[in-house]
Amino acid sequence: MEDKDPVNNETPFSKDVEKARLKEKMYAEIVEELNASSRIQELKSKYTISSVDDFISSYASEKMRVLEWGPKHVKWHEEEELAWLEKAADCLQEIQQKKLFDIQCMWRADKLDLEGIELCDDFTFWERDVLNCPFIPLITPDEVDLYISYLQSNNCEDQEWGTTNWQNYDDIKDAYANDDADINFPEWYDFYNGRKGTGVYMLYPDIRGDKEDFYTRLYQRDYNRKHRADIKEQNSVSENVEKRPLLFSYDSDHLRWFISTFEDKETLEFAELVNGFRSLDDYDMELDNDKSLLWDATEDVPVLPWHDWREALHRSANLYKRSKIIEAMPLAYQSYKMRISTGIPFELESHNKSFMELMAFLRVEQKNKIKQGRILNGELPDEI
Amino acid sequence: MQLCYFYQNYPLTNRTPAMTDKEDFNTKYLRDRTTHEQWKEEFYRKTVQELQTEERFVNYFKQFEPKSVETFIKNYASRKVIWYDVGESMRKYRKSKKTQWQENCFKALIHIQQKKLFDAQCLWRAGKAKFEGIDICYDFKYWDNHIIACPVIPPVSQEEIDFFFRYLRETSFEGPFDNRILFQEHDEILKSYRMLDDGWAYIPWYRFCDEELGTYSYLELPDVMGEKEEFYMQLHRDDYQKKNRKEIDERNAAYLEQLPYLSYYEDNFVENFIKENESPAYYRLYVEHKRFIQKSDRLDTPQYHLGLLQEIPGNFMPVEPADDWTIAVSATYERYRRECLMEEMPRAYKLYLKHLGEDWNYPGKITYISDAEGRLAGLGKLFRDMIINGRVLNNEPADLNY
Repeated sequence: MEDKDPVNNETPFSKDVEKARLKEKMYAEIVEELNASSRIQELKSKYTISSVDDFISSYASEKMRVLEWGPKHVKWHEEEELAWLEKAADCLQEIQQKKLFDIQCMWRADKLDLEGIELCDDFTFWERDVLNCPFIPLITPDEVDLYISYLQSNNCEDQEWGTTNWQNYDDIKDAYANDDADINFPEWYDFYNGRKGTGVYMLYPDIRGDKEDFYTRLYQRDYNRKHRADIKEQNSVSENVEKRPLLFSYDSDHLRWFISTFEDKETLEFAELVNGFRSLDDYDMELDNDKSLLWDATEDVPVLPWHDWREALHRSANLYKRSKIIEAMPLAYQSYKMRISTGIPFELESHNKSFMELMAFLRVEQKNKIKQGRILNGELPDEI
Repeated sequence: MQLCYFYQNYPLTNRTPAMTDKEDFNTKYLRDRTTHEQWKEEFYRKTVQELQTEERFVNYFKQFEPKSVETFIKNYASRKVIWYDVGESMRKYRKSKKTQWQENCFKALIHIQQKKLFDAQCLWRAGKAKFEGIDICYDFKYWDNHIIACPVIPPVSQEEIDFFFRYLRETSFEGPFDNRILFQEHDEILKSYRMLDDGWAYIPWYRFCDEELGTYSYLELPDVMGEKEEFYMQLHRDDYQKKNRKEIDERNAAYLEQLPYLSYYEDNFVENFIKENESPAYYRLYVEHKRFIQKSDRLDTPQYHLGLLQEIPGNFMPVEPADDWTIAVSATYERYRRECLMEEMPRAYKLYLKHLGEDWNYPGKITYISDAEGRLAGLGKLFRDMIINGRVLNNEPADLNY
């Protein structure tokens, strides 16, 4: 019996079918409406009927496209105009991130106390809300100029660092000390240190971090000892669950084998022709980003001689991006100062209530672990 | 490969019945699209069912975790739809890619021959040469379409190919070397050469030859034969009008009584129509959409060339520097295209020599329906008849020996 459940009957192509049907209907309605209008009747009395019919047909099909794409174009255009201002505002955040990182280094070295900062992870909280952080000095015009100098320098980072990891103390310090670290030391931090002489903070010891690790380890060891039986039971449960391997949809080697084994030659040929076996690594994401940036460019973007056209385009796109950000910096700074002077807090980017609740819960957990560790070490639990 | 280029070419088997009398093109197009989308959905369902029920698949999938099998089936079926949707078009595209450099070589050989024929045309029009296969000016247009077999000019030599390579290397990459299709339009070319217009008809290869070899002197020759032909044809036209005055007057009168054609694509007609008949909100959407379309039109070619550059295997191809990335991308691809042409030429030239003198199906040949019956039929016959009639009216012999 045929499955009548509408949800189960839906395929990834159902929406396209529905959309195609709607378009047919919409076109017929537009044509009907035009034919009924007095303006068209007037045109038919002045011009050959066939030429007016041609007009109706052309007008109706364009109207369909305008109604389908027009709202998207309006939205994209508005976003396009704001995009550079938003990127410039991100740069202001980077100025504050560096200052916060220096403060973190001093705090970890036990050289200062900060109200509201009890754990190393508290810096991660302010990383997400750096413009509202109460203990970082406000951005000065000199710092804005310094960031513009950075954008104009050859060292300016090609890839956007994003809004996370600016306070990832362990990785950043590792990157500073070792060439083979997991991440690169942020170019902006390096530039700032060079100009401001703040590199010395990188050499400060991590006293508070080491203490946190010590107490957490004590707690964990004690926990494992007390809950050995529970842990064993958990492991045995996990041994009994489904053991069959997963069938991966995007394993191109397997896909080729699957088609060669179960399908005909034409399917294999078509899959090959349509890049069906291309792995994600084969996609040049950097070029895609550059293409989209150049496509949106509102002015001519020069390309300088280079031995590789991809790299040449990347350099051009990057130079264009930097010049647009520099252009938007004064306005972004003005808007920053206005918020500060009027006391309007900065919005927290991608604010997610459940995530914030989880962060608060984990913070309490971490504090408890440290307190327990201190007790286990024969110390008072109240001071960390 | 950019699939969007091929997405429109859906399989012919999915087209719906032909248009009815009352139906316009767009209605049928939209109906075809719906049918096509339905085909995709059906194909997806069929594939999922096969994967879920056929024993060979069921047995194979047993060894994997069931949820991941379910995901795999849906993913595989979706992808198979895409493969079959565009596979045929991609097959044709790949085939055309295989012959593209040979086709470009023949375009180069055609350029060489066309310039020689054009110089011959100038000499013939000045009355300084006679050629077998040339009786009237129109014959040069006929040979334009059959240049590879044209008996008027000697075959392409290796020296001429070397000289063409110089042209490919030394002239700007900012436009394709082969973007012209009219090679024997004497009057238009002359007008452009004399800078009486924007120069569109003066073919860059002709300019290069004229500057390097001094052949611009041919362009300075008088058009004796052309003027004679025009004189005879005008006599014919006057005679025709005199004899058919009544019929012509009636036709003109009927034409004047007819309602005019609505040229809706001119003078902002559409935009004014929208302002008068649609809401301001719709007008805003229209303006924004138009802005985007204009931008797309400007970026279409560089985007296409960027796609072609991405398809080139290997790395580190130098860029052609330019004031704007759109020019740089197109020029870089054009330089690559010319390099490939030069590399392929020895094989193409060998093929050319093998078929020397034949009107054969060489790579990239375009067949013109209009002159399929030969030089002496169609327009060729019409012009001959007009000239001969003019000569008779002028009390001259009924032949083309003027």
